[in-house]
Amino acid sequence: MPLPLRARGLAKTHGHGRAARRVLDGIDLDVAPGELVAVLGRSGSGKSTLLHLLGGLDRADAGTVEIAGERLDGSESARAAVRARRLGFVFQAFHLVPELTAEDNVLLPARLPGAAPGAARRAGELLDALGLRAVAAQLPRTLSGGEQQRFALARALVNDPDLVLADEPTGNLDDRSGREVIALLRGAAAGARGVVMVTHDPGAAAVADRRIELAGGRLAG
Amino acid sequence: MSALREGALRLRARPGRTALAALGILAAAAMLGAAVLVAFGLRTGFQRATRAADLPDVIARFGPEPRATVDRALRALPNLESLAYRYEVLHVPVSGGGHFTERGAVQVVEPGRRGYGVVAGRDVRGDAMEVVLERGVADAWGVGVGDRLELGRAGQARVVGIGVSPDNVAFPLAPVARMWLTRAAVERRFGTDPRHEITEALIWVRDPARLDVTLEQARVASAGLSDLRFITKSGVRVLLDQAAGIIIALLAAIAIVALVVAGTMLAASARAEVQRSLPAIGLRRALGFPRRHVAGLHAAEALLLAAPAALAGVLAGALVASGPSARLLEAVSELPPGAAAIAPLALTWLGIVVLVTAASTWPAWRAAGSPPLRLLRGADVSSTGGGGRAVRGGFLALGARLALARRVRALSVVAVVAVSAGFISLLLAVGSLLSSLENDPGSLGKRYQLSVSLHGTAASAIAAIPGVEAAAPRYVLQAAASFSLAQPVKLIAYPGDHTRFEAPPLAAGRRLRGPGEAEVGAGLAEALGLRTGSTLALQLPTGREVRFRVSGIVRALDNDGRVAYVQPARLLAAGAAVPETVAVRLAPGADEARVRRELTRLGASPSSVGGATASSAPFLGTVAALVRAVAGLDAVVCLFALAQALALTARERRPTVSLLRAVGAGPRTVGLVFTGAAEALALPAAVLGIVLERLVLGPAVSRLAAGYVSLPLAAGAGNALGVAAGLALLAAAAAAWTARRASAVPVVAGLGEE
Repeated sequence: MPLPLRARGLAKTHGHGRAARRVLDGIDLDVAPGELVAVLGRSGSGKSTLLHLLGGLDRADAGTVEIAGERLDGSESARAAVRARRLGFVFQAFHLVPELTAEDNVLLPARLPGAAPGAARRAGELLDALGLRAVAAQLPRTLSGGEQQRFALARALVNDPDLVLADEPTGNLDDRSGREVIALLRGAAAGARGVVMVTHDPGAAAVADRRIELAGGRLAG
Repeated sequence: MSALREGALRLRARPGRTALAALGILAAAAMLGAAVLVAFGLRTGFQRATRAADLPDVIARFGPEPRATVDRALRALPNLESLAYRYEVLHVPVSGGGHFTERGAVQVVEPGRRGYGVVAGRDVRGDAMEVVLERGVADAWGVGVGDRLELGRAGQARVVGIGVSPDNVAFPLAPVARMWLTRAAVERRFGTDPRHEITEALIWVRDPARLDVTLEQARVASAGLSDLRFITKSGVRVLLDQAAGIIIALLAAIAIVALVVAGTMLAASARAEVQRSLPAIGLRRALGFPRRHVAGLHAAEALLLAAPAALAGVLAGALVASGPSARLLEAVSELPPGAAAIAPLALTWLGIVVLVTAASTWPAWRAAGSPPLRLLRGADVSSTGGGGRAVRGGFLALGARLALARRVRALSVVAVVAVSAGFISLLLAVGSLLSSLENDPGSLGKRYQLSVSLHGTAASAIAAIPGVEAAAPRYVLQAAASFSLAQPVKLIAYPGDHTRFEAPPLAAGRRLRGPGEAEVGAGLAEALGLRTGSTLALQLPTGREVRFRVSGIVRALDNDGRVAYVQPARLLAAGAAVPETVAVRLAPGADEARVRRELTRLGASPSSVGGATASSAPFLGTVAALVRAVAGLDAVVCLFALAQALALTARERRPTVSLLRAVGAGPRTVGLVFTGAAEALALPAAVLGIVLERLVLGPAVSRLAAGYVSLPLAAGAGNALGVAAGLALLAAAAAAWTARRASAVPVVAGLGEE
């Protein structure tokens, strides 16, 4: 079985000339099936940059990323296709589309070309599992932060991805809601799926299978 | 910091959006500049030309008469300011610049006022063999000052000037090649004419308001002159209008409607810009800035943006329209406005700047009165957003929902594009109308297809030809209204029921029932104040007067509606001759070629009956160029409005678009979202635009162009479909452009916006 994530030699520099700053300097990272990996680090250490490179949202200066054995490179269309098939994202700011109902937000990735079949059924199961059925027809702005993040998590899982990338998923939530979301992420790391979570919350990191520290552009731990 | 300085800094801080807004103002200003130049040029062209040419108030034309005889008769006229005489020689073979015509018209002039204007070179003088050549001939033949012409027996003549005389349309619209030559030169070449014959008297009066008195006396004094015809300035105007009047009136009306359209678009666009800035306004208000500060800032921004953009646009539009409109004016012997257009164009510029500034300041002032929190939340985002309803139609529907979420702005964009689409639809309808005016005799209410040059007595023989449904002599006389001699009237008469041959629609009253009644055109009724039951008194060319009772008013396009339909009995009694033309109406399904052959066998030369502008074919290419230029500018405005709306949507919805891309939407899917957004604005706008054209713009242009007739200016189904398809294509182009730009933004940058 291929690894949900296999990254080799990832490097990224921000800025040019004298203002250039090496944020990531040859990162290697593997995530095993069913594994939840927490990436910790101080603000500005490059945690989010690493997550963006792992998800193909940004281009690395050097290095490769494979998601479930599939290389994440090439044109924007090619990378988008890999994201649609194999990746799920959870963002700190939820990023639900304000004009769509919560359920429509969950189903959004399922409408993409190449999405895995059976999304409507999975969406229903996820809404039930996450306790969101009662508020599924509402617009995002009428929901609490915790509810919005749970819908965002359901959206990340609706295409049954091989890897979920979560960027500070509890950053905008109160403690209780944060704990609920972390528990759900913990549960998402199951079967062939891996989860990488960037956080500076030690409590959130505590539930991870593996905690790694990003400092000076390199991973430790 | 002053509002102007801060406004400039804000504009510089967002160069892309500033450029986009400036482009919109530029495009609308270009449309306005073109419209103002065309409207001003066409509306004032005749007056300008008559002034420049010193056109006489009356031109009397007659058969060759000794100058002394005519001078004796006219010199004592009341209200007379001055007189001049000419001798016109027709059918002179003329060649020059590699061209030749047998229809040269040499007007031999005498010292004194000339009645034509010299637009290049100088006037003729002395006894040298030199001519002033009419501008239309010079342009068509490529002949300029200093070139030589060959004038039949007179030999070579040097062109010393190019002239314009608005007493007729220019060559080639008029088939004769006109030029002016001094009598001294002719006498030097051919010897002195002992009778000193003339064929034209040019009469200038002191008080044009008393022209009727002078004309009345002139008619009395000139009794005995053969083939006498008086042509007044208003008669000249009608003469020019016969060639191109309805086209010019249409263009001028279009230009006036374009002013309103472009004004609406500018105002809506400026308002949309303020709408986009609502959160920024809310922030300033939350920080404690007073309302007037916010309004002042928006006024300064609008001023700084509109002043240069409007200047560039007005100049560009005027430049685009100047060539075709000048050619149009030259074709009817009128003069382009030249420097006289600076004032209306400057006023246009000022109007645009004021309009844009006001349209930015007022909504900003009103918005600044709203609670800051509401503004900070986006203010015009729909409160319901269609919540609770599932998205159908995939990403196209999502795009539509994104575009329509900002209802006020979406409505502004739909309004702008609808007005533009309505205007384009109007231009297409005008194109169809022009074609029908050129080719369809029905546009004049004519129901006969062939005109035959045979004596009217041959009508019964023609009517017997198989395939001919009816034939009758067609009387056409140029008369003058007895109580207003400056008003020319075209009299059309058929024995019996004229509606078998010509049936312009009745606007009031009823059809004529006998030889004492007349149906008058609405144009004539308006000019003479006639109503049903009034008396129409006319002076015929024979010098006799005839009177008719007005039985009805008809909507006739011919002769600017200055026509009267009568029966011929009273005309014949007043000395009119039986005409040499027979109108032939074909039976339904008749073989026209066979009828033509039979007519030729009778010794006739049948000709097809054309539409109102059949004689203006050379003209229509220029008109088409003008209409195309204005339509092109309007399409650019449409494209801009859609692109601006989408660019703003893309800018504001960067997080949503980035989210879509993050979850796996490729460039094609992003394109679908923006296509949905664009079509959600464009398609309702197309429908609204077509309705607007049919209910408002078409009738408005028809009324402005020709109040005496109802022009069919409603866009047909084909045109409507064309407009909708064109708009859908423009929307797709704007969507593709926006999607391309949105996809070029790094996903991470978009996600980081919140």
